Amino acid sequence: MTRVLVALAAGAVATVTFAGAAFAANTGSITVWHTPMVLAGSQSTTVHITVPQTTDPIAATTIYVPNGYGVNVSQPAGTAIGTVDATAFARDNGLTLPLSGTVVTDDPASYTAASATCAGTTTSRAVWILNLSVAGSTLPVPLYVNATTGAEQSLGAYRLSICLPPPDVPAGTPGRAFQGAQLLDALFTVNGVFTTPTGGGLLAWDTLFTPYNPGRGTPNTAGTFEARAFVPLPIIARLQATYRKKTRTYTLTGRVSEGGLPAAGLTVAIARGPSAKALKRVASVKTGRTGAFTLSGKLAPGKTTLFQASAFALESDYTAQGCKAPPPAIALAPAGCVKATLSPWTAKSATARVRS
Amino acid sequence: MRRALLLAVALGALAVPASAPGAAAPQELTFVASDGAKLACTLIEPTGTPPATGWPAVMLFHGLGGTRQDVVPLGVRFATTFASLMCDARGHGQSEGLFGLDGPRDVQDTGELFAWLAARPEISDTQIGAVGFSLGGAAVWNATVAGVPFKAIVPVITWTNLATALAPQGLSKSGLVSLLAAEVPESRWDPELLAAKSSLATSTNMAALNTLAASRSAISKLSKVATPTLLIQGRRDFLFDIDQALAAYKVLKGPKRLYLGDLGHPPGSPPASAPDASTYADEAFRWLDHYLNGASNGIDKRLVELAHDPYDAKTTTYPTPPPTKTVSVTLPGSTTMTGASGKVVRSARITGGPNETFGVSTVVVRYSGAKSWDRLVAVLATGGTAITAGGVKVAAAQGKVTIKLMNEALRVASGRKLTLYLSSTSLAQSSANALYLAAVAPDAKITIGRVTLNVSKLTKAVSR
Repeated sequence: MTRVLVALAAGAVATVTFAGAAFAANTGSITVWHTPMVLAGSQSTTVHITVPQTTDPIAATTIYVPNGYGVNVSQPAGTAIGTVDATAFARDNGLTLPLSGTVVTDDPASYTAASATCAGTTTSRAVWILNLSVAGSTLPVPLYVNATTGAEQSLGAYRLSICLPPPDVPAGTPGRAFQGAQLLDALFTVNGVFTTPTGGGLLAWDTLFTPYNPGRGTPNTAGTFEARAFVPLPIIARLQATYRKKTRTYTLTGRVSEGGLPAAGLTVAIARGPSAKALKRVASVKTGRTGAFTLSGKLAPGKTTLFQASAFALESDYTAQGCKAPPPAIALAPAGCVKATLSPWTAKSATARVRS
Repeated sequence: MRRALLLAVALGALAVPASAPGAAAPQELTFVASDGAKLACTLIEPTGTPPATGWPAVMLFHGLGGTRQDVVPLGVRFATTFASLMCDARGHGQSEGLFGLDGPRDVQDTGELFAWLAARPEISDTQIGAVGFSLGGAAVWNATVAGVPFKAIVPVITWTNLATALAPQGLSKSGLVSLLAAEVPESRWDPELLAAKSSLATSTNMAALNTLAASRSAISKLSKVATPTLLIQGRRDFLFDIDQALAAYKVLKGPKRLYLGDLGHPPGSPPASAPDASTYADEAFRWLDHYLNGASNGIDKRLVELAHDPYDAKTTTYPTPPPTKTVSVTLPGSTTMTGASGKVVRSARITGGPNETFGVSTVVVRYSGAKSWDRLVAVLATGGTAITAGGVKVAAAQGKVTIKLMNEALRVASGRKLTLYLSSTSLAQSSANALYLAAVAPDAKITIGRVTLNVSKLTKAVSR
């Protein structure tokens, strides 16, 4: 898999893939990435969910954590485990509002009824509160963490469940969202919770979105749709440096891979300097089909020079391939898979030393 | 937050004596307006025998969401010399009727109340002045330009141009507007105003908003006003900035004086607890005493007076609006921001100092690649303190916009860094800065290029 190849492939199969999605009014997406993008580790995990304002308001979102991940659910209540940024459209005043706050663990025993309604169990393994604040007001949104059972196990080992009140029922209706707020976007980062798997590849975070029946405040289960976040692990940037005294020429060779596959067509920035703390960007080079790159230049003799390669990838659309395989979970998401994404990432090589 | 943000004009701190020597017991009255609405009022009169011409009187007007009780302490203070009439505004407190944001019906109420007060045998026919805070200040302005014959007026921390106050450059101060709108239940709103509520917050249908604002703004008629006017405005007020008063001061033809103090809507101090509360209340009293009673107290000198911040019991006076100069700083760069939390932060230092901002500073922004990005908000800050802010709508994919920042007076110590925040919302500067609350959609994007910051400041700082 490469990002260039992915884009080409998307055009080839677009007709097939979008045949189902073209008639779907509702859509949404999820993107997941880790810092760093390594195996059997990572310090933080970021989940980014977007739902267009034109999509029916979402009643429930279930995010499946791929098999192989470790999930730490042992933090005591009150532990700040991360941050959240969100955007909501407040129907009552017509304003798009930015919200932000902390993610804090809470005692599952305090959420038995809500957990039963949202996550199907009174005893969630963990409850995280996404504190969505704006202008001094805070809207706490619980997120329930549970191990999967039954058919869901094919989607992942754990599921994260979020349920939201309906924003589009008449004002004054019991249980209506505060100010008629419809969530459009939520990006939350949790630290020390997820441990990435030991085996690499493209890891799919499946997500099910169940919309409300517009204006009725009842979930439209038949309208449940699926979105997928593919996380390539690990991201590796390698760099080697050689020097020919005769020609006073250094040569850098390296390779960038994502999820074990070549990262083709990426721009690799080359930094150099006399020490690791004094590296400055001096050149850039594109990776080839194999993810490899080469760069040469002149170096004055008698010096020690360090080189480092760095690359990044933006979040990209992966719907054409990502919604095709594995097959959509139609039993759980009758409206089909509507969107797949590839993680954004940044990577740096170790420094390579040259004595000229 | 609500009360802090709103017009907390419980004026008990205005050096009002605990007891009120010279004041008779307040009279609770019901005034029936010409449309049948009953307005709840309180009348406080001095004790003793009225002068042959009757007591000079002052009509006191409270702020949005308040009641006449908010201004009773000031009425008590004035009762040594004046009769005071204070009423719950239409749609407020115990008064009937609908909230009209100082619209034509409210002006008519003021005129009818004036006539009713002047007709009372113990009250002077002609020696009647007015003091109003915020919403009440605009009530005073609007009644004056409509011909209510006040002998002298004192509008305090208020607007003269509602459109530029609430939506300068056509972009609503959506956070403030939303909070203010919540102060009066919708069931008590005038239908015309209610129909414009959404536009007020979202900056849509600006033509309708401007029409509504024009009928509630005195600025276009003030050049014909000769009523002696003491304008009291806050140095730092993100709802009604200095320019709301300064623009009026410049065009008024009659006796006038402008006091710029530490009171105001946030981030200014509430009027009651402002450190210079007794100073401006005393000036208001003396202004009325001079122009209603002919007292020779020196208050009638035409000048602009700037209280120091922090307040040191001193003010600096100017015969005309304070002289200013503009310092320009270029803030280079090219930064792309995305979505509601996107922001660009650039900093600069102004040489010399200390500096004290005054006048309209501007931010010139070159931008490109705007996609669904429909607004640009600038907040100028020093440390964690917002100095001023402004916003403008963005219509094109690329171009240059000039954001006018509110006229706010704040001292900036020598060498202190100024930080400019550009975003779609003022929350980019601080989660507590909800002035421009509304943001762009999550997928909106814009690239900010070179920025020019033009800071207007006093030629010589006066605060220490």
